Amino acid sequence: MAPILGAACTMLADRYRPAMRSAAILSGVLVPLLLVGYMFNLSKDNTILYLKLNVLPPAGMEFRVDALAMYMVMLFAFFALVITVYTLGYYRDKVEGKPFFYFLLLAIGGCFGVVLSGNMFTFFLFFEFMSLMFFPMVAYKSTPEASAAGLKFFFMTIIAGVAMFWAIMITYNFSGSTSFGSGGLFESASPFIFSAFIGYLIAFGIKSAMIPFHFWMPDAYASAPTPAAAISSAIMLKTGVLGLIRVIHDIYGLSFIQEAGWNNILMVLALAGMLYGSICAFAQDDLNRRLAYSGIAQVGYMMLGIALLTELAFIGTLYHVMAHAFMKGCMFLCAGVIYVNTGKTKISEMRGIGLQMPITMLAFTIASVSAVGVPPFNLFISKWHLGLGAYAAGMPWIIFLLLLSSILNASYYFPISINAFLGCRELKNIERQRLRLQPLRMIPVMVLALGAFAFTIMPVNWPLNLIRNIAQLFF
Amino acid sequence: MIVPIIGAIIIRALDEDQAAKRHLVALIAVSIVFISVISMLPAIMAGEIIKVNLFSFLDGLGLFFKIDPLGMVFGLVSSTLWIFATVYSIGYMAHEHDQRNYFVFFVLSCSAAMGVAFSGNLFTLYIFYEYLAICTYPLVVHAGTEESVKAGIKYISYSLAGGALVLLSIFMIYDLVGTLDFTAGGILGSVAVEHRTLITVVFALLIAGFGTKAAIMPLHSWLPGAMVAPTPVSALLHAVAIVKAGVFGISRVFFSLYGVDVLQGLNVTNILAVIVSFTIIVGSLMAIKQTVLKLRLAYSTIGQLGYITLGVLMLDPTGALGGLSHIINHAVLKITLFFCAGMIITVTGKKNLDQLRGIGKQMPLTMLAFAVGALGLMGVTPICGYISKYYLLTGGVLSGNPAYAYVIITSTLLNAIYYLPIIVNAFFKDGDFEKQPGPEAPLTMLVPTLIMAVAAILLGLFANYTTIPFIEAVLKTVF
Repeated sequence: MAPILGAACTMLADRYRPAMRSAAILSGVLVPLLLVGYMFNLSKDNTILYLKLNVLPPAGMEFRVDALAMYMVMLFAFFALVITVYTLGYYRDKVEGKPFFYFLLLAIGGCFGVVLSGNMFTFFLFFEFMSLMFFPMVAYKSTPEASAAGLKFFFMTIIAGVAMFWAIMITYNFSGSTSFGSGGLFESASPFIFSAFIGYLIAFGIKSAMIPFHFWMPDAYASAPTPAAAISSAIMLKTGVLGLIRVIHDIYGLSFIQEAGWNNILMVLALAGMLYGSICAFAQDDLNRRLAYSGIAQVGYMMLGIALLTELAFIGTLYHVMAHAFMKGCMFLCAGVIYVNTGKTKISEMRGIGLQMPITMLAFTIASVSAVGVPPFNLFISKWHLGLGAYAAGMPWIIFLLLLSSILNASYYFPISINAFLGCRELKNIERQRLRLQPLRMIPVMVLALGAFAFTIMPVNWPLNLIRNIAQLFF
Repeated sequence: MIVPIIGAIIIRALDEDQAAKRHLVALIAVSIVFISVISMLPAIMAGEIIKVNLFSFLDGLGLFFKIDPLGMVFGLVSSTLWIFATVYSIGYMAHEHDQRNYFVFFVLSCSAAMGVAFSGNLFTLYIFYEYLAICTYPLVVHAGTEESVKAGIKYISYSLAGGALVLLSIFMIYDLVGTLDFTAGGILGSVAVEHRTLITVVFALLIAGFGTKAAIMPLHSWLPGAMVAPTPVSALLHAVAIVKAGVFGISRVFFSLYGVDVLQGLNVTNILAVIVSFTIIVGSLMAIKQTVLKLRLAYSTIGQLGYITLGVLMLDPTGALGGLSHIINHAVLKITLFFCAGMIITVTGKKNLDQLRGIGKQMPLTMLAFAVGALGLMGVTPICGYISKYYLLTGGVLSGNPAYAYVIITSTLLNAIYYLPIIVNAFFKDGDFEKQPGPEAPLTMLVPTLIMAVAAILLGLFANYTTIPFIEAVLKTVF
């Protein structure tokens, strides 16, 4: 397990040989993918790989790979590879891109650490590390806005860190352990234990941009280079979701939460996020910003699935983790392609852009159709399960909110695509010419667009089966 | 046993005149101190206590050294960091005047710090405490400007006034119990009931005396003033030796004179806790206001020292573990920060924070070390500051005073407010700094700084094998 981090780090050492650079970067993300494949074989029959090191007091450093970690790490390894390839294209000829890769790889390494960690303390260590490595990516452009956004993110990271530190401290002292996998550490509620829950909520809420803690995200995405936004929304955001799953299922335990009713807090925040994010997305003209607000809404779905505490909703969340990564990753990569080739970031400037770069905009359209949740696409499956889960939890009215949010999604995504292809009669000839695009940039975009429906049209939807297995383990 | 030898070596250093040899002798002197301290470590960890009675004037009054685990903490931290600070000084002082003077007192104060660490009774502690103040005075006024003379006078008068209070309480304690020896568990237990008011007064005197050095508000104002000293002096004395001597004195009062049981009976810790919490918060707030890097670090020190005192006065093993381990962790982190500030001054001559935009382009390693130090103080894992913070929080919650924990949380957020912009501005704002060929700073300065930064991370990761058993050995004798 640890070699995965090692792989990302050794490639850093290699970076000084210019000719080897691209190869080193690629191997930095390929090696983990292979290792993950190997691990998958090892853990096929639900065995749990486990490693404990006696460093990092008081709780020690623990790694543990259960089915959920396996699923997440597969996703992460895949998206890390895709986005890194894309970043190679994004910073193709520029010297300025050089340090970006260090942080990118370090942050990816941190993400792997988060997923594979076996107790909250290890989780915390890598979580902080990942966030700190993401911060330079946000501020990377060194413009005043970028450094302001970076500072904002930095503060949020520290606040999240302090909140989580507090929560872990309480957890460890009141239960004597922070390890995952025992199905609940606490027996009875107390104000301190509740404060720990709030601490976790703040920490993971900040990371995954849940509603009252979301405000760093639009700024960060708007001023960061697009690969950073993509890596954040496809991978890092998910660590927050994973963290909440761990908190509810492994630290507190399902029955404890049900009894205490604390999931309702999460549910209210999730629903608020779902609607608020969508409504705000309308008002944005900056493409990255609109995507960021839509991301806030999508996080609402995932949190909702966790908060409902039913098996079906849980499946919905996990499927949404994958679906959202494909969809939002694809959109951000498209936004990046548009920016690199035309310098445009405003939606109002993008009329007729589909004629210049049809493939990009086709991919974007696929992703946005998927975002709305039209049947053959990924998000349909996750929304379907969320709806079923809500029904099973005895809250059918949530289905209406889901539908409402989908309609909102449609109404802010479709105009982008429609304007891109149609409504361009008044454009001059120059702007109608097709641009030649870098294959390194385009292949990842196409892969992700394909992923938005590939699994659902296949006869056996194996991610879904995998998730069903995981959900059975947890409920 | 070994301590007198150290004194002799240092006198040899006194006679030295030539530059290269001077550096060598200074280094050898502090290394020998370090080696002798570390050679005693296994015995101390095994529970032995080494005693050396130098001479005595009266019964129980005299120069008496006793090496116990608590003294070992302070001795080991100071002697280790002294080596790095000496190497750093060689680089820093290369262009300064009157180096001989500087190094003489620099090495002398090392012996004073050792004396403080290993003194076996309050009288010896008092003598070395004053000796330390006097040795460091020439270092503070080294620049020789009017400003530094003024700061020096302030510094020495605070120190001596604090010392006088300690002396006064020495009389009173000697009168009460007839001994001044530090004993684990306290010496005042026998008289605690009948002389309740009196020993409360003595307690107040002692805390005020040592609190001056520990920069407890409102007795802190000498510390920012003393920042006119050359940076290695600020780093060592105001991050490690002097202020820690104050904190160490307070720990001695708590653990070796009064003992936990007596203090619990006296009920004085709550008042002190309020003062210390006030110090932590206000110190952090004032740090935000500062525009000069070194001053900001100084105010941050005031706040951080409060952590240590707070941990000690929780009278709880876990809280004390946090407080005492912060002696080590804060020393390593803050010395890193000061070293960075010093390098910036040497290389670019800039002192103000708003001049430091974009300095990360010229001095990336320096600012990286700075980031490690600053993040460590905020409690980011795995840099060592988190350990003390963890145990302080735990101690606060478990000892039934979550208010302590809230103070620490607030102060952590305040730390973030005054450190983060420095880091962000250094790397992500454009300024008038360009990449320079060659090493970014003299190697004698850069290398100690980087070693400290790496040590901070290692101490955090492997605290199971270093800090924690060490401090637990101390606590075993106390609780």
